[in-house]
Amino acid sequence: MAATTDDIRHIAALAKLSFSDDELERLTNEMDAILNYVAQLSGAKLDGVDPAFALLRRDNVFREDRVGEMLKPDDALSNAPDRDEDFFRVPGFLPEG
Amino acid sequence: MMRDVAIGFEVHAQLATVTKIFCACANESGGAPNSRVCPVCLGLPGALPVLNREAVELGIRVALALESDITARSSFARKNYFYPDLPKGYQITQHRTTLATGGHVDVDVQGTRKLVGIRDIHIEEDAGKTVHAPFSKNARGSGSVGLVDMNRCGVPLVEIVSEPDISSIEEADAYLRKLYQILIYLGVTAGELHRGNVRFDTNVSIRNAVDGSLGTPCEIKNLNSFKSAGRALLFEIERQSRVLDAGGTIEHETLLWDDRAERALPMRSKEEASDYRYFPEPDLGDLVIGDDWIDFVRRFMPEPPDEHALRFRNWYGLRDDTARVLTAEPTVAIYFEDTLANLLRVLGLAPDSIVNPASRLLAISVEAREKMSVVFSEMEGISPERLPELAEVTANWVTVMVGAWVNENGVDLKTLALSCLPAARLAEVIAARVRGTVNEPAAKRLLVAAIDSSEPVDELLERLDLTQVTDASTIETLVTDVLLLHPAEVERLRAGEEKLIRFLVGQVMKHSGGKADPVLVGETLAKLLGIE
Repeated sequence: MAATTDDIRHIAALAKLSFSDDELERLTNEMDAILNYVAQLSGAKLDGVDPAFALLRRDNVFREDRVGEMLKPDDALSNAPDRDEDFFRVPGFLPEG
Repeated sequence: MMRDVAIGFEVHAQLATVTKIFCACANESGGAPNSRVCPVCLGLPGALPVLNREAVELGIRVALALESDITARSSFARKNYFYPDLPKGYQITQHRTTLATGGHVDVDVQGTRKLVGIRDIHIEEDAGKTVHAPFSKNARGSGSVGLVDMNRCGVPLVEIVSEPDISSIEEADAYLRKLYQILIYLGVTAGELHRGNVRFDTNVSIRNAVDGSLGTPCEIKNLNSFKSAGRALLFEIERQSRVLDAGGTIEHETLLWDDRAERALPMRSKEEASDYRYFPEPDLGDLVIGDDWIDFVRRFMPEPPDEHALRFRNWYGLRDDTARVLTAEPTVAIYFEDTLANLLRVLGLAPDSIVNPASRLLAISVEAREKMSVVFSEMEGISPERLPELAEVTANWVTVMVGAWVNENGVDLKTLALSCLPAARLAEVIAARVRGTVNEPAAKRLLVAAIDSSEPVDELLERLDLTQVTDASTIETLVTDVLLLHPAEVERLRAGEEKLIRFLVGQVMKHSGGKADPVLVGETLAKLLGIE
């Protein structure tokens, strides 16, 4: 098995999520299945093939340094679950938690 | 006991572009919260980042100034972590390959030169800002809330990572100040430390006294001034020393500096530290930088401070200490050079073309320097001694006379130079003194008058009646008057009380309304009294 319950717990902690034991087991199985599926790739013969980091590559795509359209604060905040004047309001947390 | 330490820095500087690094939002500070945002920097679904060319060019300037190797093909990566002011859930940075690698900062530590190695330079995006509001009510319950402003999301940063070559707090301070000076000089950042334009993270490890190996480094983040960097280093070196003295071992930790409490606290949740799961940014292509582009950037880039000081010595024959004082800040250096060029023009020693019309306190690029150099080599009628002399005089005016006015009036030099006292006007004031039209005290009055009014300098000279009296017979009359008024002092002076000559010179100057040439007055007094 490629994925362990500890892996899932670690990834969940990084994402600030918590799961019940049942959920952890289900997610471990699902993740394991995904990893096994993708692992088939490691059987491919890649001798002499350079590693690719993306499929579509275009070098040097730039913007010029000119100001364009920006959102109004009300629009920027329109999907926010909570706001305080023009700030997004989020539940309390410790700095760098 | 004193221990050997190894210190390295990660310096982040916000780049002075007009817009953010991956979107067209304005890159400014201040203003209403969430007023400079768009789908890209808010991380809304489907938005695509596009790299700002100018951010890359400012990064190349830094790499050139630090003599780093610019990477021909570099790429972007996602650094994943969860924090409310990072709406995408990742920061776009460079990881596998960076803009540049290697290089060094040439640091002067109390007269000793030291090279601090640079590991790499990369460009990345800044995160937003969170204000913690412990007493505000959360709409979804009681307790503290965070208020998030995304205006800073996507502001371009250059990060300069040093090798752990620094071995004392003094060296650390000298390194940070020198790197800061270079960044300001290059014009790549606004550099306002109190606004967080430039921020430092440091890593500290203690060398094993027995085998010389480096101990486990600890990081301290969130340093916003040179002072807090020094304090944080002292705190951390003492902390690690105490652990080692007690026979303990140093665990790798990331600490957050609290400037008010003057202490560093470990960041919570060690298990997630440095698990950023970097992977290639699929939304951005590679950054390919060829020699042509590098040459283009080099041509239009301002001179770094050490080169600037060296050129001042070579071109103008300035003393090393004068050159260093002038090049501490680019504004002073450029103002000086502009003033000197104008002075040479006003005195008829150089053609009008010596004045760089585009300069106006803008940095002097290679291009401009080459043009100036040509004019310079064609300058006629100036002796080899005359130029260094005029250069030192100009330096003195800029740093001492104008410097004093600036300090007393709380106006910054740039504002002054761009408003009431452009270099050409200052040059006319200096010329009046150099030609002997005014004496020293009158020159100071003329300077103040030139700042306070917009009248042409020659009209000011006349209106304020500042022109120095140098006519021999007028001075002789003034001296004779004073001698008749002070027979007792004349008697004592003749009897050998030499210091009274100064009293008499002072009386003549007063009698002339401050306008007499003091040197001529002294000579005339000596002559009339028959003393050497």
